[in-house]
Amino acid sequence: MYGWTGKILRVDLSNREVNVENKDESFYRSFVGGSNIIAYYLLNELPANIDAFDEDNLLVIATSVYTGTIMPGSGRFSVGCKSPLTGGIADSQAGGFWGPELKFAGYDAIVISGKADNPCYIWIKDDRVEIRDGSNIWGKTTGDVEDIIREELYEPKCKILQTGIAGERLVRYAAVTDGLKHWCGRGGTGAVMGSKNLRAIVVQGTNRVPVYNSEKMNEFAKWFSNVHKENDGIVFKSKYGTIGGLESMDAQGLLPTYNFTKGSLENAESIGGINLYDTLLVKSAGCYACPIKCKRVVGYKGDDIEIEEKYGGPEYESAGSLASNCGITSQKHSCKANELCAKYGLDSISTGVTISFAMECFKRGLITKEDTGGLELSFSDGDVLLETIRMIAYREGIGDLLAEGSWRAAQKIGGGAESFSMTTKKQELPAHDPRGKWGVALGYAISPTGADHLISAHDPWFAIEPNTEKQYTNMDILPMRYFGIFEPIPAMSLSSKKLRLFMYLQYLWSLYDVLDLCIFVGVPEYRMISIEQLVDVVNYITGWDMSTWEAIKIGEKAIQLSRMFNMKHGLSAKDDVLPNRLFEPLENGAHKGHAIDRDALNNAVHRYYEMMGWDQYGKPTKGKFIELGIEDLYIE
Amino acid sequence: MKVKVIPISHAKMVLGDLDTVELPDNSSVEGLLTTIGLSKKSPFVYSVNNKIASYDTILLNGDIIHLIPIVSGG
Repeated sequence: MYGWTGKILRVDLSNREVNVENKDESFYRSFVGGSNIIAYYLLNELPANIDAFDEDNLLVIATSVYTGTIMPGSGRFSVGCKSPLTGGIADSQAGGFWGPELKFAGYDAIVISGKADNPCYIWIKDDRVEIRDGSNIWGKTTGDVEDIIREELYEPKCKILQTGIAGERLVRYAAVTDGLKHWCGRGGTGAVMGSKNLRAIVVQGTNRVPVYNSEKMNEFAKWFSNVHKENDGIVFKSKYGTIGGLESMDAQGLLPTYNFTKGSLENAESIGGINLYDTLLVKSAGCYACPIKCKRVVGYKGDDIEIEEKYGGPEYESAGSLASNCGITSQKHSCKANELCAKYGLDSISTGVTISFAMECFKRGLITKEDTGGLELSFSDGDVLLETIRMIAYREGIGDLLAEGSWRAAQKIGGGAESFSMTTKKQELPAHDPRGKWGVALGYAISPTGADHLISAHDPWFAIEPNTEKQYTNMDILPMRYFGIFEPIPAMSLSSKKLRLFMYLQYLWSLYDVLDLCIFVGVPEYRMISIEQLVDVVNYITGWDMSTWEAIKIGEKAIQLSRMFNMKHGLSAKDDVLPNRLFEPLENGAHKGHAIDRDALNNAVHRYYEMMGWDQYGKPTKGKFIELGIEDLYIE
Repeated sequence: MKVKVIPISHAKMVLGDLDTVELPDNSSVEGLLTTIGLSKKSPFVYSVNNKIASYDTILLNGDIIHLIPIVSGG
């Protein structure tokens, strides 16, 4: 079999058993990787309504057909489980080098069950798999754990996936990191890892992934290494990182500021990517097989703050959530806050938006200094931000409450605090205020994993006239022509045309998560790789004859499986809602006065159900599962 | 009439500093784009005096127009 190892590693921590499950080609052709493999195992094997911290919860880590080949942007992998934050499915992707290394070791995925008696880590070197004592790494920062494990194993090149102190202490939005710089941030996968007494999974492999048509594959990679240099949007991202978009979000008036009350921050440029380039940036970095290198590495040593280079640097989402949304304009504090999240293993989005929630509660008198242990939890105070992050990671004082996430904290605080929890399905909103892009709002509402900015494309791209002038790269026409969509559609609309656009784009974006492909390489907005080329590469690797239709349906499959998982675990249409604040006008910026139309959103959600083949309660129909060939996974 | 044009971040990298642009009276955002060599096909959004604008927004003397790259992901 080309492109795959054919082996899924199963680790039962309760019984300290390691087994290999062999899968045939029909499994891989049907599920293809990432999100689909995660949803398959979780839906098939997890009992309904178990607690996310129950030892029967599974932690599934999956690669894709691309992983370990030279496909640009294929360094990603997916981590999933039942989320302790949302109660639904967690499915989070990160780049880096760990995913390919797992494939080199001979496994396409790992399924971890049970709970170890004592802290442990898993060491995988090709066929040898050990569950090792982890008592010496428990309670240590992520950076220290990397150093200790490398020294202990005498393997300087091993790849380490781990949660942090936050995961050990079951912070509901604890994350998982690959090599300290790449994060599966969302959904609390790190907390589930911690609940299993599992601190790290270390891997090293010596095999190579067999590719059916290496000549074509090499040709494609060579083509991409040139074409990405001609795309000025990507060139900008290489130079300034995703954080380079912060100034643009501020100018658009969609930069979350002061807990999503405003869309623009005074002096926002001081925490942006261009300022970072001129001040704290040490170098750019990248992921396996990717020439774009959009990652930041920052460093600083002063009397006030020290920022360690080994933790990389902030993405846009981190700066938007930790800094601007908390009213912070100090680049050093923004970068240090990001570093602390990395050091303790926290999702920087949920951390920032939970703290901005707490700051608003403090401002309104719902939390007092008595509650905070004397801490003046005010907006715009960088030192308070840093101390609060530490308290959350260690569940110290007010940090213990905030470690539950803003939704659960609001229930305990009472007094109307729930109005200030900017969450959907109890997960904090990313750093894109959707009041200027209503498709993103719909995505936040219906996302199976809670608020997520990577559910579908962002509307403004498709408010632009189709470009047939080869202005950017290789494509003659806008990619949505493939779906029969020819005309631009306004950003602040949830018309029938927008719903069609949204749904087709969601299939595509879901496909990238199945393929574990970086959006900066694959998505239509950047107009670098066409949908057909994505499928061609699958066929170069496997020797299959997959069509574009089949690939798009594979993307849809992950959406349907995730939805079914959520239904099984008690989520329903009542959870497909947005926080009330988004129906109120923005207070400043270029979108001042704009709000989402509540009726338009409600109508769009229910029309979307119909389009997806779901009933009025949002449950997928048996017919839809039959269409996708997954009726065996249907739950009546 | 004269308007001030400010490209933001990536737009600045592509277009450089534009500063003041002279236009016929009653020009729209689309007219401005044509004058500076951009089109409705360019991947930017526009604000006029810090309010999000459409292609047919009519410009007035002294208006400030920001050319803003679109951001997704991150």
